[in-house]
Amino acid sequence: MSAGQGTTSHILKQVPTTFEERGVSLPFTTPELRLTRGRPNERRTLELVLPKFAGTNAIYVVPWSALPEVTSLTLFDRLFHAAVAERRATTPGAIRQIHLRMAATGVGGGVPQEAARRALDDDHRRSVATSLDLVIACFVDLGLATEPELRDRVNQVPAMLKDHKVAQRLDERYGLTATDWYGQVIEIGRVLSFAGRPGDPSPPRLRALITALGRFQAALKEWSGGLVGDVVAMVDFIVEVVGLTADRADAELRALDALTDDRPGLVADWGQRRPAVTGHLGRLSWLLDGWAPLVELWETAIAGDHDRRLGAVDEILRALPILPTAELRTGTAQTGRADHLHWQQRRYVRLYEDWRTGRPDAALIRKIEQSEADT
Amino acid sequence: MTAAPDLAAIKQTLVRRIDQIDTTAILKLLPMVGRIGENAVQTELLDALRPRLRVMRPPRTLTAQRLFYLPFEHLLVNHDQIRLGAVPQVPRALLRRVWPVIADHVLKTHRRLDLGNALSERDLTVVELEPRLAEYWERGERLVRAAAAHVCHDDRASQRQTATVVGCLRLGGQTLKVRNHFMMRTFDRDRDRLADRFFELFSQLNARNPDDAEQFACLVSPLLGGPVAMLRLLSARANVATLDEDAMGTRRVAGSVLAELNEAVDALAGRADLLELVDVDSLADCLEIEMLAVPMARRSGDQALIRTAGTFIARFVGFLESDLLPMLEARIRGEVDRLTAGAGELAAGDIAGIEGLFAYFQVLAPEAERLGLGDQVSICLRRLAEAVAAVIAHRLDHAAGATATVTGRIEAAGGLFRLYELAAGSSAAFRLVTAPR
Repeated sequence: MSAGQGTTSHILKQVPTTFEERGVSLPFTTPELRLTRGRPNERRTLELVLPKFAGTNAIYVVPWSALPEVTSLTLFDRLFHAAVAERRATTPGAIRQIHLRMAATGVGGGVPQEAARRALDDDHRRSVATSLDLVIACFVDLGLATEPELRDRVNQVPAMLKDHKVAQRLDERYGLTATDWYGQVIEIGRVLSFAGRPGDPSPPRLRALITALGRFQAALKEWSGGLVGDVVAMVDFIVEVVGLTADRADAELRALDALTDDRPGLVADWGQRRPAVTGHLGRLSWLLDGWAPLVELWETAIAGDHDRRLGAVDEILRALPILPTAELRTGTAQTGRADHLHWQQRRYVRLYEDWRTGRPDAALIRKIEQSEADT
Repeated sequence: MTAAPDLAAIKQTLVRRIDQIDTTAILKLLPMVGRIGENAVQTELLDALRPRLRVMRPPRTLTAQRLFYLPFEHLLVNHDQIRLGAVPQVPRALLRRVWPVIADHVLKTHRRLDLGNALSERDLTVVELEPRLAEYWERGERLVRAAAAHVCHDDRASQRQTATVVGCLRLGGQTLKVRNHFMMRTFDRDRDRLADRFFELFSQLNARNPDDAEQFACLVSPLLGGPVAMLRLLSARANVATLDEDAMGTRRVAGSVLAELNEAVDALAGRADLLELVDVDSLADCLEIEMLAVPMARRSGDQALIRTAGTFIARFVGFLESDLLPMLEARIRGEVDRLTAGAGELAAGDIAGIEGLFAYFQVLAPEAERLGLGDQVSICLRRLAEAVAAVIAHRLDHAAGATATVTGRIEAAGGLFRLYELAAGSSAAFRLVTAPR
């Protein structure tokens, strides 16, 4: 374990270069491990990044295998920790799958179990619905039937694939047998189901999270409007990071929508477009990784009193998913804004820290020592 | 000619889309609602807006009614938020019953004191109006007493709530000063200033009338963080109080808070619906109060306070031992037995229900030794762990899939392993999951 030296000082003084270096958000349930991130190190083994672990301002980096020795873990976390190591999962999508499947067993509690089952059902339902949409769009494109006709007898669509004439048209247009074509459609449907389509009345997770970020930003602004003092600068910083992330995520989503809007064309050209589609989706999931618990944290705090909201701001600040520099260089128009943000991040002072030095407030420490002496 | 706004439609929109309405729209709507006048429609609209107003805290138009409510505004709660315990509360429903009876009289006073014109003067604050408000609240105090006799039920809760309103009106000026500090606080140091202001006012009242000082402490305790935070403050104050009378006053208030808690514990003991009445947070609060009260009473050397603290601790521990623990164990055993009987898939709701009951143990177990309840709690948890382990074994024996692997066992009985973890700890639960059968 290292703190304040080596890897730690590197993290403290610099913002991450890549999403991988920033690490993937890990949904541990042990309180000390809340908002922790995991990432592969130079030797491609996993390590954990623990911000403000044990109440200090240092960021601890510990080998993945050492975690059970660092703190007492809940049963769920022990099993989750073992499953992540076994599958060497380092992406948001892989971590989410492990988490949902484990939570759905109920080993993490009844409430997470219900939520995980709903999420898995939702993923499956969306995947099927997206695949079906693709089939219908392709069949309409081939002139096999109109969209209303196909929607009316949606259950017969799989059976239509066995029709000789349909198979022939698919072969002519897509150069695939009906079975291979259907397999490809299922794969595209599964990939696209995470992003959904513009105007979806019930948008999937990633698209909904961009909207939630907008609400989060507005709520923070609304609250900070009535505040004075240092906390305003902290909230402004969070608002800026949220705005930048939401803008980048929105741009990725728009690029993805443009690439996948022509559904029959997408199916025909999947081999060519696949890397670009999965690239946009991958960046989108990395951009939004770690934001859902922060939005949730704020939504819970907003129902509480002033002190609770201040506490939430502090917690959000320490886990704020700062955009990696390499990622920002790809969008030159916003580089200046990002540089400004990174400069700001190094300069702001957290709650209970001395304004000039960034060290813990000495007066507060004395007060705690006094209180300890009194008891 | 412009059409009159459809208030019912506005209210429906507000209730349905309160989270999505733009801040500026709410700020525009608020004066419109203020102009409706003090009636049921205004009340309904304000109720619909309240979730956002709680966050935004925009400046509100001061009306006769609002001025009247000002000293106890921080104690106002909706019917569903009323909790048992020592925190004073004033249900909005009570005021809705009382206000029409006293409105005429209050408005006359309002006019006589020329508060309307005074408030329209620029830069004049409520604090500057305080000398005139004091008379307004003094008359209000008498009117509430009279009105309550007509419209309030004769039960103990209503009497207590009326006494709270009366006390707040009598101590309106002092309460308002503490409230102003409360509204301005941002950081930890501001909380210290708030406590200093409280003690300054408390000492003045204590010198004049100890009963008022005692009531004042209870009325502003929610602003200072509730009875637990109040006891924490009092405990610190008792250590540093230099004036005898101040220290005595502090102990007197601590005694009063503890006496109120004694009554609350008495009221709860033996109730069949105990677990619905005592939520886990209340239990945690009581444990912290117990922890603060003992050293404070001992250090003070005040025999009355030592007796009150002793009574509280004895009653609280007795209540845990005789009422809460047996009831918890019986309830959990009943639920676990139900799981054994069922052959199908475990319902997430059932598991969540039992987890909710285990939450009491999670709060109580770390303190059990100190309270002299270590053995009872350990025995209780061991019996529950054995019961859950038996259900797990039964489930795994009858599981449809393979249970030789860890994954198979988790999939067959994940929720039950979670319950075992709550009863026996995560290490024991991990051993049970990973041990070959």
